Amino acid sequence: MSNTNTAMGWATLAGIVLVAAGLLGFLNTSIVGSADNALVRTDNIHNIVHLVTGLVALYIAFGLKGEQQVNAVIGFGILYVIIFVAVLVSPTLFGIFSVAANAPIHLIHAAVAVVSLAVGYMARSTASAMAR
Amino acid sequence: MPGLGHGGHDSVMLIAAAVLVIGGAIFIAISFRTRPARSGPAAFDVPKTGGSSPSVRRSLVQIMAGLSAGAAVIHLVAAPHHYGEIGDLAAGFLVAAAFQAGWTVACLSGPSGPSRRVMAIGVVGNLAIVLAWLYTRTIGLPIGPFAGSAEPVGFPDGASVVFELLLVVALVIRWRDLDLVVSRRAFARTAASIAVVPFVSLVIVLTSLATVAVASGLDHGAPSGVVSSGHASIH
Repeated sequence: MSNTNTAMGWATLAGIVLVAAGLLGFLNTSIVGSADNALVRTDNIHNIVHLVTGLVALYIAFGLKGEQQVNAVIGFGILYVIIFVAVLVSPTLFGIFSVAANAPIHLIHAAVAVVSLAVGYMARSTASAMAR
Repeated sequence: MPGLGHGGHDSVMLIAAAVLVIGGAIFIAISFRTRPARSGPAAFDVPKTGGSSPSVRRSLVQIMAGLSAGAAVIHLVAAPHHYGEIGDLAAGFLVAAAFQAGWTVACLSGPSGPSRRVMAIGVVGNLAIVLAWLYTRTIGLPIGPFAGSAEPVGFPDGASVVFELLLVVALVIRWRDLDLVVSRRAFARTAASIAVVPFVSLVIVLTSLATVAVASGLDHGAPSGVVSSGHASIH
């Protein structure tokens, strides 16, 4: 598997997971939703964020290629660093979310941020090596 | 999970955490393994044609289009609600939305972005919209049921104004060809290319949230009933 495929694979996985999390959240299941016992506690606003960013990830996976795709994966990581820090500082995102983010939410944000940055960075360094 | 106690719930969270960490680690490990040695053969299959880093100008154009489209969507979704409050004056929302949507298309149509004429129209139009908003937030509409009553700043209109002001700043950068100056550096080209995704994604997310706020009647920081007994404005 080349790094292009890895970047595409990660963007696909992140996109599918985020879109699924967003859609499941609207169904208010015990996995994702606003119920007290939900694994990942979200409200509709948070579901929309997951859905939108998941669609962005899927666009990166299937709408871009080569260096643009790799840069976009890094950019996606930066986006989730911003989201992670913002939600960490204020679990209700300054009152926008009616349900405060719990630990699994922070973990999802952190994992998407770290893996996107790492996968993108390594793919980028490969592109630089190729340019040399 | 229904019926799960605290112990079971915690176990599920631990499993979810493990899956995420292990899954992410696998992708990082694969990336690391396929990363070539500095002098070795490249495993990265960047296509020879297409897919390379776009110029700073192209990245700037994409960001400008995103900002204009976001503001257009917010104006469009805000229109029906305001028709019920201020009647035909709410047509201003539709005019603003049509202008910003049309400008987005014009911005993306050229091979190197908007022409100087399109840029000038963008600056004047968006500044006019921002000034109209500022007027309604400080003095109030000159006519209509809420004439002379200043409107509170809400999340959707605040987001829209931020988009418009950032768009004007970007247009000034483009007008003065500052993007071409920084474009000489490879780092700047890469940074601009990377910045497009978080920038445009945040615009999309904020626009989505603003749309929900309008649909929920929270566009002025209070539920619909409260808003309708207060005041509204053209922006």
